[in-house]
Amino acid sequence: MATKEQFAEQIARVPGVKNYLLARGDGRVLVHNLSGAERLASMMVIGGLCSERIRALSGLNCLRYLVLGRTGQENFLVFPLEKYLLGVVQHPEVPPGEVAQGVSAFIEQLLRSRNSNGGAPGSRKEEGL
Amino acid sequence: MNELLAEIKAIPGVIGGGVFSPERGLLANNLPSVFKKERVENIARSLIKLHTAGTYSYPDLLDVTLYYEESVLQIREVGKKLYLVLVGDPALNTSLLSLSINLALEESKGLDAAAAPAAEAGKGRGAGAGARALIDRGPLAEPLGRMQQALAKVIGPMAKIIFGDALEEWGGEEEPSLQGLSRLLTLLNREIGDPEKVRDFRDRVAPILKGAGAIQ
Repeated sequence: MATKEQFAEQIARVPGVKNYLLARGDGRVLVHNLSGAERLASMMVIGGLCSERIRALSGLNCLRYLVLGRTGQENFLVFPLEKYLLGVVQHPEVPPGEVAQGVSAFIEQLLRSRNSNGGAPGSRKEEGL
Repeated sequence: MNELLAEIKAIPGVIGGGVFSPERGLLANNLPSVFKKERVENIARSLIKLHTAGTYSYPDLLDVTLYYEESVLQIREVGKKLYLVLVGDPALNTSLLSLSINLALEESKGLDAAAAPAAEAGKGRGAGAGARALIDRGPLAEPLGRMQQALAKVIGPMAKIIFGDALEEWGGEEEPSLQGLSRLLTLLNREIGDPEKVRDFRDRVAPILKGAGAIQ
């Protein structure tokens, strides 16, 4: 499993990702390259809780991601990642669907790699991943 | 509102939607019957919470879209404390959806006009439905038009829809008249909700109501 520095380096290379923020499920910020990270992390936690409640009410399966659409086009996307939450700011010139696809593929690859190594998330506790 | 929802439902991938007010609950919806009202309201409340949290970080927030494996849910504020909640399938084109909603909101005059013939025909929409046409002709047209313009300055693009609904309710309660415009003002104030905006709206329409003899 990647360290948070490795994670940051890799997520920043996903096409369409302008900024990123990785937080624990309790809102603790692990790594980021944007401003207002603490407040955004809190919003991500609320988003996670609300989407879980909606899932329970509606009988839907898991949330893939959510998008905060902005008039300025720099949309903010939130992805649940086991006990973490990943937020990314998209480049305005890249469609949000493409960014979501790229980030989802990155997450799948990360989890596959973790599973094939047999390690659990948090095996390097100090890194938070 | 029903016309707006019908227009949006015609977009490929849209299953249906509803207009929700935190105070008054679900005001209109065209979701399939499997979506029970209470459940839709609970989902809408969670979506509003999420939307509100988003506005703290992003004041220019337009909408929030949740992509579940089988469905897409979207919420958008379309007026003061008035939210549009939509359900779609995963293939929903959200860019097309946003554009369509913008157009539908801007063309709300067209929606009102579309509602008027059905109202005049009296096809089960109640006695107040014909009141929507009062803004187009007759002695009330001029003050009503000015009141609607004032409302648009206070609450934005949903004004025409809200004004039409208030006209319908007013016409259902009493015979519309110049002297009765103060009752319409009360109904509109209830829809606006926010005390500061209510004051602003009252100040804007006071000369209109005085001119019509509705208030001293």
